[in-house]
Amino acid sequence: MDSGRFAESQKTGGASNADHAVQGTSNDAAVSRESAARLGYIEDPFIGYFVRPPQRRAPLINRGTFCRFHGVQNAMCQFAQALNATSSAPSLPDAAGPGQIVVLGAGFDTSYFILEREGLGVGRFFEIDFAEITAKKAATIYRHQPLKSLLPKDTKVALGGSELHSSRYSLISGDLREFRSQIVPKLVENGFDCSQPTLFLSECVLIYLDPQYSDEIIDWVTEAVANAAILTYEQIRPDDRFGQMMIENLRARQLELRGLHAHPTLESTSHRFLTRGWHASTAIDLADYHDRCIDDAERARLASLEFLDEWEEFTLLAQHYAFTFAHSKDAEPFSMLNPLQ
Amino acid sequence: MGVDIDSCIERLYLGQILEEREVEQVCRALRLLLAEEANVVAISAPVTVIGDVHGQFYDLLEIFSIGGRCPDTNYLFLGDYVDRGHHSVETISLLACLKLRYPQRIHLLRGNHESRNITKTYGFYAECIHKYKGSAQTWHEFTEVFDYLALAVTIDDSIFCVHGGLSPSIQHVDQLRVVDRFEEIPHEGALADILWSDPDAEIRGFGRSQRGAGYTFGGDVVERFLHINGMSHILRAHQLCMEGYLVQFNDRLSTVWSAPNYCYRCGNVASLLKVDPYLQRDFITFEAAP
Repeated sequence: MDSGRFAESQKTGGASNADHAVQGTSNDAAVSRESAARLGYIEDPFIGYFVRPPQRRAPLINRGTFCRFHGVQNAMCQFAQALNATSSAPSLPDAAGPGQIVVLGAGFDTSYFILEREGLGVGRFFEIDFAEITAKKAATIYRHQPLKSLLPKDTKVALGGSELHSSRYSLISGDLREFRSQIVPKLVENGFDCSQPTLFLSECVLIYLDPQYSDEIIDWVTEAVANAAILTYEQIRPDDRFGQMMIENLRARQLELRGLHAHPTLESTSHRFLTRGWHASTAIDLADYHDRCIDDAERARLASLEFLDEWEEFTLLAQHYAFTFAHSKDAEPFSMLNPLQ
Repeated sequence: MGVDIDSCIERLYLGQILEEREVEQVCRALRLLLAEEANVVAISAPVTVIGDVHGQFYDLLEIFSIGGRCPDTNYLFLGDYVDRGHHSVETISLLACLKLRYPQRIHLLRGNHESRNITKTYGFYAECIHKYKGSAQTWHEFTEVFDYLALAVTIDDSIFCVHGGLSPSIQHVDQLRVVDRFEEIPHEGALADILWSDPDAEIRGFGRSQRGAGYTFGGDVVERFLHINGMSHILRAHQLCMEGYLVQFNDRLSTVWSAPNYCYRCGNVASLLKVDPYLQRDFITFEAAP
C-alpha cells in the first residue's frame, strides 16, 4: 500500500481492502489456534470464545501451530519467571509489578489470559491492533466470564468499546503505521514505563508492514526503551519455489508480505537488530525449532494426536517461517533467557 | 452390471461426479474384479507409471493429456488417489471406472491414503459428505474398494512397484503374495510397511520412521531385495519431490510424484514415468494445470 492510497483511506476514515485482508489474518490465526487446542496439541482454554465457527485444520498446520505457540509461550513464560525470580517486592493484586509485554497486532491472541491463569502475569500487558479487531476482542472478553474474570478489577471500557484500560492490562486500538504519533502516546497514557524490561511480540505482523514502518517501530524501541527484547515469528525465504507460491497465494487474498524481501533470511532477520546496536539476536526456522527444541516425548505425544503423513510438506512449510529473538542490552532478565533452544 | 460405464467415464472426464447409486454399482463390480487380482500383479511394458495424485483431478486430466488416454496408453498408478486435493471424488471415480472398463490397461495399487482412518483426517471423507449431501455412503463404498486394491506390481519381472517401500518382513516377493490384503491397513506388519516406508540414503538397514508407521530403509536393503528377487529397479511414490521425481541408490530406486503444486501451495513440479518395452525409464515433468 503506497502512501497515496494510505492517505486516501485516512480521509475516508475507513480501512482499505488491503487493511481488511490483513485484519482477516487474525481470524485465520485464531481458527488455527482453536483447531490445535481442540485436538489437544496446545492448551488454550480461551481461544474458543473468539472463533465462530470452529474449523479443523490439516495435521501439518496443527503441528505448525503447536510449534509457533510453543515458541511464543516459552519466551513469555521464561520472561515472567525470570522477573519473579529477580523481583524482591511482594506482588499486590492489581499493582503493577516489574516487566512489560507488548503484543503488536495482537488479534485474538489469548496469551494475557493464559499467563494470568498460570499466575505468571507480568507488571503490564499491552495489546495493540486495528480498532475493528480490538472492538471485537473487547466485546468478546466482556461477554464471557472466564475471560472477564481474569481482567484487573479496575478495567474500564474506552473509546466507544474499542479499548480496555486498567492498571495491568491495556487493549489499545491504532494503526502500527502511525506508531510514534498514534500508538506511543496511548502506551504512555496507559502506564507504559520505558524503564521496565519489556518484551515485544510480533507474530506475522511486522512482515505485513512496509519496512519503513516496521523500522520506525524498532527504532523507537531502540531509543526509548531501556531494556527491550523482541520475539518475531514471520515468513522467510521468498526466493525458492515454495516461497514464490506462498507469496502468490497470499497475493490472491490481497495480502502482501511487504517486509519479506527486506529480511528474507535468518541472518537478515537478526541483522536488523544487530545493526541498531542491540546486544544479541538469534533466529531459527520452524523446521529446526521442531526438530531441536521439541523433545522426543513431546513429539511422540503429537504423533498420537494425529498421524502426520506429509513430512516433506511440513518441513517445506516450516522452513518458511522463523522465530527471531533479540535483546537490546546485555542485562537481565533477557540475557538469562534462551527461548529458542 | 446395471450402470452404463462409458456414460460414467464420459461425464467424469467433464468433471461431473456420478450419482450415489452409480458409485454403489461401480464399486460393487470393481470389488468383484479386484478380488480376482493377486496381491502382486505381473504386467508388461510399455507402461506409464503415475505417483500420488491426491485429489488433484485437473492435474490427472493433464496427465492423460500428456501421456495419452487410457486405453491408448497403459497406466500403472502407485496409489494415494484421494485426500488433500479438492477433487478426490472425481479422481477416484474416474480411475475406478477406467479400471472397470479396461482392467488390463490400467492398474491401481493401494496407497497409504486408501484407508478409512487416513481419509477421515485428510479430506476424502469430508469431501464425500459435502458432494453427496451429507451421505457417507460413497465413502463407505470407495473405502471398501480400497481393501481390494493390489499391493504391488512387477513389470516384466524386473521392476518392482509399490506405493511406499520395503518391509523387514518381506525379503522375497513371494512373501507378499501370501499376505491377506483384504482389510483396513493395519498399524504395523508387512501391509503397513509396503504402504508407509521411505528410502533413506543416510542409513543402512531399516530404521524408525518419523511417520509413525512403516520404516526407513537404506541402499543396502534395496540391493539385497533386488538381488534376492532377481530384479533391477524399485519404483515407488509416497514422498513429495520438488522436481517431480527422485532417483536414488545408483539408479536402483525411483520416486515418482504426480501432484504438481501439491496442496496448491508447495510450488513443486510433478512427473509421469514412461517405461518402454526395453525397460528404459523416462520421466516427463509437468506443472500444475491452470
